[in-house]
Parts: sequence; structure tokens; C-alpha cells
Amino acid sequence: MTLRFGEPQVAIGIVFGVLALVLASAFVVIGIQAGSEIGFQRVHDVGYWIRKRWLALLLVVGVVVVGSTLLDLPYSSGSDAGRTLVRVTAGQFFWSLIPDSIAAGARVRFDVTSVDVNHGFGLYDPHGHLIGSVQAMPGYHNLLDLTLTQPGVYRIRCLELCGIDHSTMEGAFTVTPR
Amino acid sequence: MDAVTAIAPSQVLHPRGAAFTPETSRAERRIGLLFAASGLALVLLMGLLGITMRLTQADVIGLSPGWFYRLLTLHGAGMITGVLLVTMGALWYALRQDVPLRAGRMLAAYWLIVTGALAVLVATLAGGFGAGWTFLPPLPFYPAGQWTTWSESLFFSGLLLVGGGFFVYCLDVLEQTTARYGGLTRALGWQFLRGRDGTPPPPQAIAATVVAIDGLLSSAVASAILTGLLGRTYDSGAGVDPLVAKNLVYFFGHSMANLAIYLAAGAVYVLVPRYAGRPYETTKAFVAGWAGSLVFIAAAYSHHLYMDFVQPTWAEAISEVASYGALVPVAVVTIYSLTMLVWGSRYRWTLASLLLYVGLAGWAIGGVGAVIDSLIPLNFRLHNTDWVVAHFHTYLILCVVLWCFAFLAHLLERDAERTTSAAGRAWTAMLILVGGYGLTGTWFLAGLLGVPRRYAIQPPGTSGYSLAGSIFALVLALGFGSLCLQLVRLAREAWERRHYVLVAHTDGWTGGTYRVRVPREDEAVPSPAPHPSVGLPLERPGELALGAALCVVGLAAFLPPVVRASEASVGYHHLDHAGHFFLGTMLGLVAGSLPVVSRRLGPRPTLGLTAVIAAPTLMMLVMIPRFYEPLEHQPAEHAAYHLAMVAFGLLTGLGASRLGRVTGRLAAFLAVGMSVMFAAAMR
Amino acid sequence: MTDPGRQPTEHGAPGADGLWRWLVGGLVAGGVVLGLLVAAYAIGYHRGQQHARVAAQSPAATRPASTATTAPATTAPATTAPETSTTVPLGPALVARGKNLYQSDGCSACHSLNGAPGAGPTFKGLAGSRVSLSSGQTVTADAAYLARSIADPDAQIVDGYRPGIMPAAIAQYDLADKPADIRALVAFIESQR
Repeated sequence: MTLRFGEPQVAIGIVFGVLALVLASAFVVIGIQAGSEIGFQRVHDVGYWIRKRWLALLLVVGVVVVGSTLLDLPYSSGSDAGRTLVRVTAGQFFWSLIPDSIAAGARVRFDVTSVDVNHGFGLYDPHGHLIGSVQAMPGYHNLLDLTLTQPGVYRIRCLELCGIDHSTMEGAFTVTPR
Repeated sequence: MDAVTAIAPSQVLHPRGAAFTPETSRAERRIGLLFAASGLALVLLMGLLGITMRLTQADVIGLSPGWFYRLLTLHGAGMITGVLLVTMGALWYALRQDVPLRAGRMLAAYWLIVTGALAVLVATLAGGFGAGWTFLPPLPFYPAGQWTTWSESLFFSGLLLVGGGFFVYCLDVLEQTTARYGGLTRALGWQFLRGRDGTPPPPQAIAATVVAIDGLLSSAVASAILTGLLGRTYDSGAGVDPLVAKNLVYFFGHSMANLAIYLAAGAVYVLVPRYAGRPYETTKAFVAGWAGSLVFIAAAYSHHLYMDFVQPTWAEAISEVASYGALVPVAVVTIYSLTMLVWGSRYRWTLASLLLYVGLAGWAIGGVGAVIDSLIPLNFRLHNTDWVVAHFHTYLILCVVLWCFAFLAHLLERDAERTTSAAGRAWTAMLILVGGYGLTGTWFLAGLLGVPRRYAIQPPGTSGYSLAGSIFALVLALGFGSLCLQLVRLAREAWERRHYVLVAHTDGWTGGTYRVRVPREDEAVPSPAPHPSVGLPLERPGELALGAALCVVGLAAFLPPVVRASEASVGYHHLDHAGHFFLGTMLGLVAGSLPVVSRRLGPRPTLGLTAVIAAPTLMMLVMIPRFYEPLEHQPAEHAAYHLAMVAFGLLTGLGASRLGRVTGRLAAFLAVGMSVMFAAAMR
Repeated sequence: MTDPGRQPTEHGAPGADGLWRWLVGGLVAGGVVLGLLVAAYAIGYHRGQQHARVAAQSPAATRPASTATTAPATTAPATTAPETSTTVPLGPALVARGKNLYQSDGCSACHSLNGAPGAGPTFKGLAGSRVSLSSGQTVTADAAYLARSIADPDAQIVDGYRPGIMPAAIAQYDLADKPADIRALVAFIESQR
């Protein structure tokens, strides 16, 4: 499976790139102007003027971004009504999925656990986009609810250091066309 | 020799910066250089390991996965330790004039940390330990044939020593700032914030106090989990609850890594004004910002557990808010006001000041990457991918490590009374920036692609990223190499200037004037003396009464119904032991705070410190089933064991009473807290 | 507020006598709080006893065992009185140790705790039950049987299961050389009712 950039990741990349560039430019400009003499009173006035607005901007962005993300948590709601349960068991160094295939469009609940150490259930769609991940913990069950509409073979990679074969323990999950 | 004229002083610092640059004494220079040089040597060594790993991932070198994970573990632990050493030294140096720390404590901390680092080195390279520096339980106990049992316990012991050294340092910082400024709320600047104090502590003192509090908390947590894991190494019948253990491990790891940055920031507050020629003063915004950081640094740790869905959702939500919150004081106070200081200041560009400024940018850019990852729906897609590696390497290489070098460069520049050539600086900066941002850039991209982190064997088709990363890493290495070369040149000159002075000498016989090298006498620069411990944990009668009351309530741990109820599970039984320990600690604290007893004990800060570290650790180490289980059916031995818990507490309480008002209370609180956390984790 | 530079203090006001009065007051206050806690516990305990007597007419079960390893590890303190149990109370440390060995020595891979079939017999209700061996005998799975099954698995195989698997699975743990571990595991199996 070749990895590919998923759409959310592309969006994240663009946002990050833009912000990083803006910050870098700001530092370059200020760095150049650092060599000249600007009276401290002026620096004070400009600086504090900007800072008030900068703080306000950060707080507004914070409330919006943190607030909206807190409403979009991947944690399962609890009820498994109408969901097909897929038991995922991780171990050194294997993945066991029972059942290992479902029909496309089915609502799935992955019940993820481990028999030894912490592993990470990283699910990649048939095109190689990382959908997301959830931890496989020994003694605990993490429930991940997803609806998989794309038919094909989904690959699983381990996303938590679990020992020497951490990089090579792969699994597969088939979504059959309806 | 006739007329003796000294040469004109140098222009390294900003012309106005001399006002904020006091002379240093020999001890100050030596300790500063000791910490800086040792830490940076460790960092550079670990950097070589980093390059080796990147080249392995690029399939240029054929290192086996077993060795890859050994190096990975060592790289992480060694880097954090190295960076911590330098930043501890830098903050010590920055505090020196206002809050002198005890040299003995500094050296004790130094040797504890260095020994710990050596233990980690042996455990990984010789023992094969490869569970990552975050040793996420129960992985250390599932070696899959890769490492030995002794390497597990050596690794844990090593980290325990590093944590212990940091604890000693933080305790001294807190003791000295609270003694010097008169109490905790004054030292944090909160009295100034409320308008009740006209002269707040300087910025570096407030930063140091905040870091010390969070640092003590972090060391306590580390101690609780590491002693538990040490017990588990020798008795596989000891159970570790994976979720609680994960919470404790990540609280410790997250705090340590973050505090290294904030420690450095404290020093940067002192260094930048020397090159900008403008003073940096405590403002109300500054105090408020650091008060926020005090809370946010600690509360944000659960962002490492976002993908552990069994973690309570409220904990995840608090951490998401705190992670964003942590950004605000940094962006609005520290980075912003330092940049304001630099802007239009006729900033004196030297090697040190360049590194200081460039580091600010690194913190900002790494911070954006961090905040993105701290949003849970985004973390769902980025968790444990190379994105994480990218953002923390941006913080660490392109901010903290640069600031570490800046500290060393500052010390050397001052003594050499000159800096590097502009061309040399430019080359170094260019190599480091291109190499560094290129390296982290490839990691950011790989993370977006979904490449997992900590992979010895990279997914097929991604070797391009690893190869590009390796090339950038080599460029970065060249940059650091060039930096080191320049520092060595500065060091030679600094040594010359410190030990000899060039004097213009007019030869009486020929009448000619030439320069002569004369041994320089080290002017005795008075070093401010550290404070003795101030106050007792329980001073006012009401406080002593409360302590006595708590002792009686602590007796509940011995009541038969409670002991019987605690037999329900190992976790509850450990909680009962924590209750015994609490009783002992309160007894010790009250006893040690009584004037009669306190006078008899005398001021014994070192003994007190040793007791406060050793007694709780021993208490936790004896809670191994293999020791305890045979006693369960022998009533006399069983009772003796429980009394031993009380005795450990007594030692802790008495020791804490020697540490002063604020630190004594905090130390006692943390000791009891450790026993409770131990009970939660060890089932 | 403490002045900087003060030495470890002499307690000034209200005087040594006053201090002892405060301390005694504190002790009394602590005693009162402790007494209240004990009283609350006693009342709750008696209420619970009455409840248990009224509700359960069938012979009291033994103490609730540690929850199965596949459930989130939360345990409640036992409020049903252990004194009414007729079995010898097992040291919780021993059972807990056995539970941890059950996980760490790989037993969980083949022996379930909830009755589900696997490569080996389930541990639920095993202790004390009658077991048919492949040799045709039927024996009681007492502590000695359980211990022997761990130390030398192929000596007695349950009917329907294959020889050779368990010795291979646990060879690396050298359990035959660890009687303490075997005791703990047996205690754990016995707690799985």
C-alpha cells in the first residue's frame, strides 16, 4: 500500500504552511529593523497597540477553534445500536480482526484491545490515506465508531512503539462492495 | 615594568547593555560552563545518534531494528537530559545576582543527573533496552528477546536519578526565591498583580518559581511510576494499570520536555536585554502570563492520551483547552515582548544574540505545529505520525538547543571580549536554518502523509522523505560543526583574556612601546550569598492544630474496618499504605515544626532534603508483592511492615520541616501524593 | 507573610501555654472528625448488613473476585462482609499476583475467564469442578491438579484438547522452577467462580 495525502491532511498542511510563512516573515522583517534605532517610546506605543489586538485575536480564534473541535470528538457515544462489532486484538506482533470483512456502508464499531503491550490501530483506506487511529491497550477496550463506504482492502499499521517489529506488523480489513 | 595601561574594553554587548551585565565570579563562570559544556556535549553526541537513525530509515545504513530502537531510546533520554543540564545552568546563571542558588545543591543535582545519564547509556547500548525514552508500560516488560531484565531496572534507575537531580535543583530554586522575596505569592508576583507590592521580583525569578513548582510535581510523578516499575521488574506479580501508568508517564515526560523550554526562557529574559540595550522588566501582563503557564503546562499533559478513548473525556477536554491556553502567554508575553525589545533597538548582532533571536522564531513555528496537533479531531489523523516528531524537533533543535548554544556563546563572548566574524555567523545560521527547517519540514510532510513515527523500517514508497531528511540532517550537522568551531575559537580567546591581560609597556631603556602578556589577577567579585531556609511548614498555632487534627484523622488507616475493606484489591491496599505514610508524614511535620523539636534538630537542610527524597522512594520500593505477600499471614511481621510505612512518613515529615515554609509543605504534599499515585498505578 | 532573612522561627505569640492549648484543640478536633467517619461507616455497614440479610436468602457467595482482565480495571471495595464466607480468605496480594501472571505469562491467550472456548479450557468455574481427562479418568480440579497442570501440562490432558501445545507456549517462563508463581496462578484460578 502506498501512502497518500488525505484531504484533511492537505488542508492542515496548507494552514500550517501559511501560518509558518507569516511568522517567519514577521521575524525576518523585525530582524532587519532590529539594526536601526527606533525610540523606545514608539516601540512601546506600537507594541502595546498591536498586543491588545493580538491577544484578542488569539482568544477569539481559540474559542472558535477549541470550541468547534470539542464538538467533533472521535470518542464513541456508547450505544452500539445498528453497528457491526469488529473485535480488533493487537499483540506482539500481529493484528487479529474478527470479522475481517464487512459490507460497504455498514456502520462499524471497532472494539480495540491488546494482549500484551500498547499498540496503535492505524487505519488506512484502500487509497493509502490515513483515516485515523486509536490506541490498543492491554486490559482496556477502546471503541472506535466509523462508517466505511469505500470498498477495498483497508490496511492497518501499528501506531505505538511496541517492540522490535513495530514497523512491520500490518493487518488488513476488507470492505466488500454492496 | 613601567607605565601600565590596560587596553580599551570590548564592544561585544550593546553599549547600553553594560548596565544589566554584572561581573561574574569565578565560581559562577565555572558552574555555568560545567553545566553548559556537559549538556551540550551530550546533545551533540545524541545528535550523531539522530543522524544515524535518519540514515537507517533512508536505507543508507543497514542498522538492525534492535539497534535502531536502542539508539532511539538513548537519543530521547539523552537529549532531554542534555538540554535540561544546559538550561538548568543557564537559569542558575540568570538568577545569580538576585536569587543565588547553593553551589552544593547545584553540584549534587549535576552529579545525580550525570550518573543517571550514564545508567541510561549502559542500559540501552549494553543492555539493549529499546522501549523508547517514554518507556510506556508494560512495554519494558515485553522485550521480545531484545533486552535484558537488568537493562530495564538500570534504565528506570537512571531516569529516577535524573528526576532526583532535577528535584534537588527545583527545590533549591523554590526555597531561594520564596526566601528572597518573602513567600510564594510574592515570588510569583501575584502580590504585585494585586497592587500590593511595589517591587516585584525580576522576570527570571518569576519564571524560575513557576518552573520549580511544575518541576517538583513532575519529579514526584516520575518517582511514583519509576519505583513501581522497578518493583515490577523484579516481581512480575506486581500489576501496573496501563491507563494510570500512561497518565503518570506522560505527565512526567510532557512536563520535563516543556520545562526545558521554559527554563531556557528564564535565561533568555536576562540575555536578550544585554544585546538589545533595553531592560526587560516584570509587568502585570508578565505575571499573569506565567501564572497561566503554571497551570497550563501541568494541565495539558493529557494531550498525549487523546487516542486512549478510555481516558475520561473531561480530562481530554481540559487538556485541549490547556494546550491552546499554554500558547497564549508564550505568544503574547514571552515571544512578543522579547521581539518588541529587539525591534529597533540597534540590536547588537553577535553569535549569542543571533542564536537567541532565531530561537524565538523556532518556538513560534513549532508552537503552530503543536497547537494543530493539540486539536483532538486533527490529532485523530496526526497522532503518533511524523508530525509529532516534526513539531517537537522544531521546538527542541530550532529553539532550545540554539538557546543552549547561545548561553555558552554568551559566556565565552563576554570573556573573550569579542564575537565571531559576521561571515562566520551568517554561514552557521544559514546551515542551521536550512538544515533544521528542512529536516523538520520533511517530517511535517511525512506526518501529513501518514507515516508513523518510531519506525525502524519506513513504509514502502516513503524513502524519499527519509533521504531528504538525512541530507538536511547532515547540513544541520555541518551548521553545528561550524558553530562548535567558532565556539572553540572564542573559548581559546576567552581563556587567554581571563588568565592574562595585554598591557602596554613602555620600555624604560629603549623608549619603545609594546604589549606584554601579564598574568591577570582574578578580581574578587563578591557573590551574593544564598539564603538559609526560612520558616517552618507549620508556624502559626492554627496551622499546628490543623496538623495535629490531620494526624488523628490519619489514624483511620489503622482502623480494622478500613484495613479489612482495603483487602478488596491490591490498589486499595496500597492506598491504605499511603494512609499510613500520610499519618507518619503529618506526625513528622507537626513534630518538626514544634519550636522545641525544631531547635533540637537544628537547621539541617541537606539531611532534610535527603530524607524527603530517600524515605518516600524506599517506602514505594518495599511495596513489592514478593516482600509483602509472605508477611500477610504473619500478624507480627505484617504489623511491623505497616509501622514501617509510618516510620518512613515520619522521616519524610521531619525532613520536610527542615526545608522551610513553602518548600517544606510542598515536599510533604508531594511525598504523600507520590504514595497515592503509586497506589493508583500499581494494582 | 514571612520576612526574608528570618531564621527558623521561635514561636512568639500567644506563648508556649497557648501553643499546647491549640495542639490539644487540634487533636480533639481530629478525634471528632475521626469519630464521625467511624460512625458514618458503622451506620452504613449496618444498613448494608440488614439489606443483605433481607435480600439474599441463598448461601452467601464468596468475596467478589477481581474483575476479569478484559474489563476496565475498576474494583469497588467489598462491602458484603467477608466474615460470612465459608472459604479461607485468600490473601489479595496472592490472587492479584496470579492475575498479573495470567496476563504476563500468556495464559490469557488460550484460557478465557468468561466461559468462552479457546485453545485451552476456560478458567470460569474450573476450580473444584469435575474434569474428564483424555486417559478416561474423571478427577476433581483441586489445587494439586491445577498446580500439576501448570508445572507439567502434558501429565494430564483434558479430554478434547491436544498435547504439546501448552508446554510449548509456556516453556520460556520456566514455571516449574517457580513454585511461588504457580501458587499465585492457582489462587487466581480458584478465585474465578
